[in-house]
Amino acid sequence: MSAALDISHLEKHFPTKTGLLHAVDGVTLSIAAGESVGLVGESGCGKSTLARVVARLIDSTSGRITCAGADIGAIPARRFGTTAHRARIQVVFQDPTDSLNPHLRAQDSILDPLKRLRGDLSREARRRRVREVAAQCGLPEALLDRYPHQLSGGQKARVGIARALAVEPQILILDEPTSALDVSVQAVILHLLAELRARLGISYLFVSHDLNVVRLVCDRVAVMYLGKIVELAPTEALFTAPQHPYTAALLDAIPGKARRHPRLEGEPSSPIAPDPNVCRFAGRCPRGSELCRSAAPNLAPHAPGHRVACHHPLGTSATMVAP
Amino acid sequence: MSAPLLDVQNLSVRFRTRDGIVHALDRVGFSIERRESLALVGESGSGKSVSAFAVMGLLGPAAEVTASRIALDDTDLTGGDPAALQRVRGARVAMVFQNARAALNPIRTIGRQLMDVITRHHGIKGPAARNAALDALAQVRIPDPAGRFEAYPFEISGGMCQRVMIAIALACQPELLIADEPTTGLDVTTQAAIMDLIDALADARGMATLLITHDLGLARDHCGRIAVMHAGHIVETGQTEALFAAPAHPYTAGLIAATPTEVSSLAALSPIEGGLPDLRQALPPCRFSARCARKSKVCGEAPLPRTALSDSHVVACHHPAVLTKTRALA
Repeated sequence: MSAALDISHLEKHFPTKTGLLHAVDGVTLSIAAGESVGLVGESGCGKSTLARVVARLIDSTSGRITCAGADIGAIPARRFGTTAHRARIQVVFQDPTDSLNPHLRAQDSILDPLKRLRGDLSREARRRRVREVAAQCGLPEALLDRYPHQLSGGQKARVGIARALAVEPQILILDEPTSALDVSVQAVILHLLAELRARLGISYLFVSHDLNVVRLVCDRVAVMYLGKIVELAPTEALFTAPQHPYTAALLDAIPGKARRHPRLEGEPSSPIAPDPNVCRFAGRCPRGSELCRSAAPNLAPHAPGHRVACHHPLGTSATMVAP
Repeated sequence: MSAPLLDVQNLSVRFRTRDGIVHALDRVGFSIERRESLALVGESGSGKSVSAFAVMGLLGPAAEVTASRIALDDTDLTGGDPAALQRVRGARVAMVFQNARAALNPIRTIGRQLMDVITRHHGIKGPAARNAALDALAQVRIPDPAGRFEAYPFEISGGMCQRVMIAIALACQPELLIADEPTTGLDVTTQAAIMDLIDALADARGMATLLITHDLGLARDHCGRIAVMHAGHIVETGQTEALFAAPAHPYTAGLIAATPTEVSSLAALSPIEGGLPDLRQALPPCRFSARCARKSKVCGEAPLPRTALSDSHVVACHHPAVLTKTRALA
């Protein structure tokens, strides 16, 4: 399988009064054509920043982003929207209400990216495309004349997805697409996303804090902690045999599941100017040792397709015993 | 059996709005025993929070509240007498709200806010109140209570804010804690820690809890009994395990099937058709009937029956899934 998207050694640092905040710190990740990769982690771990850099909404500090052979990371974000590459990567935003222009009818929201990026199409062809993509997303034509405030949450989510799909992207970045929806509506949208991926063969980068949702719609999952990917594995493997103690703690915190590991204590250390030689999870980790405080672990292969950044991975038993 | 700690019967709430009268709650009834934990579960707009706010007398003047009985132990709160509610709120029944940072006063230190409550209800002042506040902070396991005492809400994390609010709620040893979506907006690991804390403190003090949540998994983990709400009705009440093993109301079954935690694959995740009905319109006796696969003529005509499937399992449905239960499990 060829990669639809290649991210390598990506870094995004923000200057703050007290030093550089390492929001994304050396992330390497590749997404195959038609693949759905989940990106999970707690708030502040850098998953949204990573998504925004990859979606080319903001510039990276260093690193490469390649999409279909083109080095799109080198194009400044403020100019990216005017290039043809913009049509390849599209974003579905978190809050369907906040991310739609309240002054635009549903059809005009969906038409907007076509106007900007598909000037080659005739007016009529663009209108036809709007109807086509709306139908794909399950939006009845009668709703296309409505403004966002006249639509339900689920309908607004469909408009947001249709808008992203209008220009036929190869990659969709989904930033918490269902977190603002009720469970009954969430189920509808998750089914729609799975169906669209199967039908259109596009790739997803699915950013979410909800592990349960990720489990249902992703082929692989990347777990992020303080700017770094700490574990990357096929979904099934990650959920049945997590290797990183942080992943195990995250899984255990899901309500409605039997508890196998001790709860995490404390809060994440500061992402501002972190010591490069200390594991980011040290101090909060039940398995932490001297080694973790003198050398940061790399994301190393554990099993085929399964990588983990930990000096003391959980192994096959997946039961955590204090060392 | 002794009387329940909180008893609510036939609670109805209507809101006067510019677009007409919203029938937010329709003859809702529930009770909580001492030391018990009850969850009110439902989608947004189902009336979970309104139920709690109505009991506590926290709804504004646009709300018209009627009930045949609201009683805390032997204190009658049915008429919504402000003086009686004032004595109960904070002291005997405390509330923890969603989004703790917004619920706390942004321009007073967290220690000062704790002292306010202690002074108001226990009449202690000065160093004694300060010590009590420090104790309360330590009980919710805030590291370095003395250091955090002078912090403002914006200086601490969301999880810490929620701990502070729990400390404030528990400062007066209430008999009942109402937690309204206490972990919405928090990370799963923080959510787990906060819920563990509430469980542990409730256990240690023999306090009852009413957990309001949209998350069935959370309710399953932390509550012994669950009441499911839909469009201002309580459609089913039962012991947690019984409810999950054999949901009798089609809405309960639908909610379980739509919850990602409860299913093994996307194929098994099934949406609930339709949305909540418009509560401003005249509604059929069963407010779920428009979304229901099992509906028949009787659902739109006859008053909603309340059927007891066991001592603790009650369902409000003309066609509960009792007879099909064995087939569903097979």
